Amino acid sequence: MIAPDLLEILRCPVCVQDKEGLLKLEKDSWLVCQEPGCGRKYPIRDEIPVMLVEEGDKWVGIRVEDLPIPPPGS
Amino acid sequence: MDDISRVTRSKAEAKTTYDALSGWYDLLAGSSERKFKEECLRMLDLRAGETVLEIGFGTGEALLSLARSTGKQGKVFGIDISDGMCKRAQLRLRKAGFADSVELKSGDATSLPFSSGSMDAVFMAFTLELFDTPDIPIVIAECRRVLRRGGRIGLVAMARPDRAGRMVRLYEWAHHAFPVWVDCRPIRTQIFLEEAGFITLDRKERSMWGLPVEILLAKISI
Repeated sequence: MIAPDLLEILRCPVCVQDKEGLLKLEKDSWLVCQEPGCGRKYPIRDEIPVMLVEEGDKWVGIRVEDLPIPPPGS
Repeated sequence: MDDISRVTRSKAEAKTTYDALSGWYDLLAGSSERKFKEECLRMLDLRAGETVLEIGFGTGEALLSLARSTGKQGKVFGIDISDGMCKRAQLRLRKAGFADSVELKSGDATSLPFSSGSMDAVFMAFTLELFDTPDIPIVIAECRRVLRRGGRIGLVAMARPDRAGRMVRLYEWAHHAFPVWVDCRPIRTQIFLEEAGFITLDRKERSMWGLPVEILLAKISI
């Protein structure tokens, strides 16, 4: 479970470089970047968010409703 | 800086190596590194209520100290590229009753997943020297970005003297010969920090297995 105040500080590691890069928790298992045109989605595996850029890149083309639960590798 | 060895193994190899080492790391290096980390933490002098980030927390030993220092009003974040280390540290935090006050993330310090100006302090021990030379200024710039104005950084790293002694030369040979397993090497942390606009507040030089170790406290110039 992700603590509610965590999202105040956690950001998309790519977009935070020049934008806000806010993330939204989806399905209690994914953190989805809210910046238009980004589309990166970061899985939460065993309660630990995987905030690696290459991991976020893997899910750019996948719609939020199609994200697997639990994320692969959990 | 041309005499600083390059890191030739990939980050994917580093992830695999540290996943494999996660169960053994405390036995192999934990006791050697502990006293230097503790000295740096004393220099960092964290206060109750502060927000702190540890980069490369490994098995999570220092995270416990960070959580105790910052208390219930504070917050500790940790980032490590190795899933194995994340799991190991998570277990340690749960056993010690600190799972709720420390947030762990799997990530890469060249692109930190935190908002700008969100940290009072950053702590990094025996980690900066694992990054290849062109990545070191990027990591330090990221530390600077996530620190608030006046924020401070505590760093422990193997130090590269201008005139390398026998042990340093031997270690650098091993780093070249076994780049995946001897993946760190001595660097010049203070120069990297000051080139990025940090002001050194305190610096100590120690020795580990005959190799120089640099312990630094610095803050962002305002």
